[in-house]
Amino acid sequence: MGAFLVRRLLITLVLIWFVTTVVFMFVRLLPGDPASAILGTSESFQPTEAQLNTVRQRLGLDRPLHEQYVSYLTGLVRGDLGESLTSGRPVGLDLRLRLGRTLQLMVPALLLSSLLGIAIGVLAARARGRLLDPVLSVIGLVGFSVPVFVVGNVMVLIMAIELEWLPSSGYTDFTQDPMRSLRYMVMPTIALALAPLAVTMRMTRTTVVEELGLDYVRTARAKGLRERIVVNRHVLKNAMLPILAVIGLQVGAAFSGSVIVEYVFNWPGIGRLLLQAIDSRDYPVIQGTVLLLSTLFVLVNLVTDISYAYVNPRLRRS
Amino acid sequence: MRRVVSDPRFIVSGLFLLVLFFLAVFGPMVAPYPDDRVNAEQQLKPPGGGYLLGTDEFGRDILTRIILGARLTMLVSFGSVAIAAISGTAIGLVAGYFGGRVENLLMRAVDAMLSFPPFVLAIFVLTFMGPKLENLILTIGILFIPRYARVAHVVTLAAKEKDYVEAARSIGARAWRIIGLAILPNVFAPLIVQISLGVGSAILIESGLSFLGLGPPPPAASWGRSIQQSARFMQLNPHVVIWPSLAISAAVLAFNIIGDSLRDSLDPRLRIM
Repeated sequence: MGAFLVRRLLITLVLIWFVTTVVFMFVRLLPGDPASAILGTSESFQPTEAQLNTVRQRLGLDRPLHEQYVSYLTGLVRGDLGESLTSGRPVGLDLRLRLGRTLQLMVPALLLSSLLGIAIGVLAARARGRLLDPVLSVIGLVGFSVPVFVVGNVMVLIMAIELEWLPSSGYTDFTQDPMRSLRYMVMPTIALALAPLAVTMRMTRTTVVEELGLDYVRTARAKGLRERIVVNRHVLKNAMLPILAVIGLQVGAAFSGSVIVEYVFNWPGIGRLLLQAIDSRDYPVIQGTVLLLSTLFVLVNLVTDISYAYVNPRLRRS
Repeated sequence: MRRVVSDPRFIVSGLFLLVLFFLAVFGPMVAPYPDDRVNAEQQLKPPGGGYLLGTDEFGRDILTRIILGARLTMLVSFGSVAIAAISGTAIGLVAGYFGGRVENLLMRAVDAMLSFPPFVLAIFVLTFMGPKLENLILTIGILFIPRYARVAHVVTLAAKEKDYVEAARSIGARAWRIIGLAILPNVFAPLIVQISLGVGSAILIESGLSFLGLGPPPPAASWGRSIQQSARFMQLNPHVVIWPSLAISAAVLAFNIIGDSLRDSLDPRLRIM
């Protein structure tokens, strides 16, 4: 396990370096001058060369590329992501604040989708041959086929506009007014949970059905164990591996889902920050957000791999 | 295969996709109104009275917008999946067949592509390249390369050990000939499954990007963008978002059902009946 961990950590470091480099290159090498994009050009307004130079200087774009790269990397190591062009605040500060709010949706959504997904998946597997199984399978297919913004809009139409049970969008700090904050959380959390729930459920059903056909299950049943114990204690333990892998993938996918969910529900998390930064061409913020999301994505993959290897020792060798 | 074809879900999805293909090709000819007909007197009309699905906030017929949107959706999803499937399969075949350093290099590159959250990367790239149709197709296409490369790689590794490949090699066939004639046919079955599922995900990503305003700019009739633009009017006129939402969801669902059925019948290892 030790050698596996070291190897996997090294790969992760390389990937994080790769991600940071790609982000750096994209901002600087893609067609279009960031400075004129930031200032904006129209028929009535053409930025002067002096104005352009001021912006370039502020971003450090006037220095040679390798110099920019070195100061970018040393900045990252010190946790310095530059300053926002619109607010002037350090980017790292905003990222920390916004990430907390995004996790406030992601963590409950993923807990919900994992627990419910496994429970319903087991239910579907045990209902094989009865009507419930195909019904659940269709619901599962629909669950991951419907775009998350459609789910969001439908919920707003029903829960907020028609029934007036919940506010349609917005955010309140939990520490200020917990009840209000929870009411704002309900719909975005469910919207974010739906697709991973469907995927987890399908995977659980498939693996549990596969396991139920194996010899050890027959032995366990022959011993006179109750079906509930056979499934929960024996089958689920063996089925956990692929389910774990799928849940890991869903954590990664939730970063993408939360960008749209935060947009639909006007939730001031990190996805909303990214979109706002794109609108205002706030390059340091765009760069910092993408960097943070990608690094987290790489780390989630690392954790998934390690827990996978922990459960299944055979994988540690390769 | 026969059992799959008689599955009602497969038939319904297949028929729906045929309609979609038809609309993608002949849309402008069968649409009830020309697209750019902005009509200030007919804004936000409910379904009925000459407008089967109602009108949007510009007074445009929603049915027409959806029919014209089919072409864009198909173009982006099939275009990007074609790019991904062709280059991904080529990478997987070459990596699997030649092995060694080539394999290491190619498959590490594929792994590296997976170190970005795909949707966030797409947002990032399109911000810099500009939200144009070609860029959208290219971006989604590149994002999808890994899944095809991995499938082709695994299949090639298994096929390489077969006797007929050994036989071809021993009579002196060239590498490209062996890859093309002896190994490639093995890739087709899993590839078709991945293409069907891939088109479904491509539609999801395209509609998501368009919904965030990063798709082709108006007046292109994109389903995702119509929802974004009309969402403000949804409170009093839910039909403006419901019809395009249904179009996207049904299209993705149909491709996923077909992909699922094909996997059950073409990939016996995954068949659980």
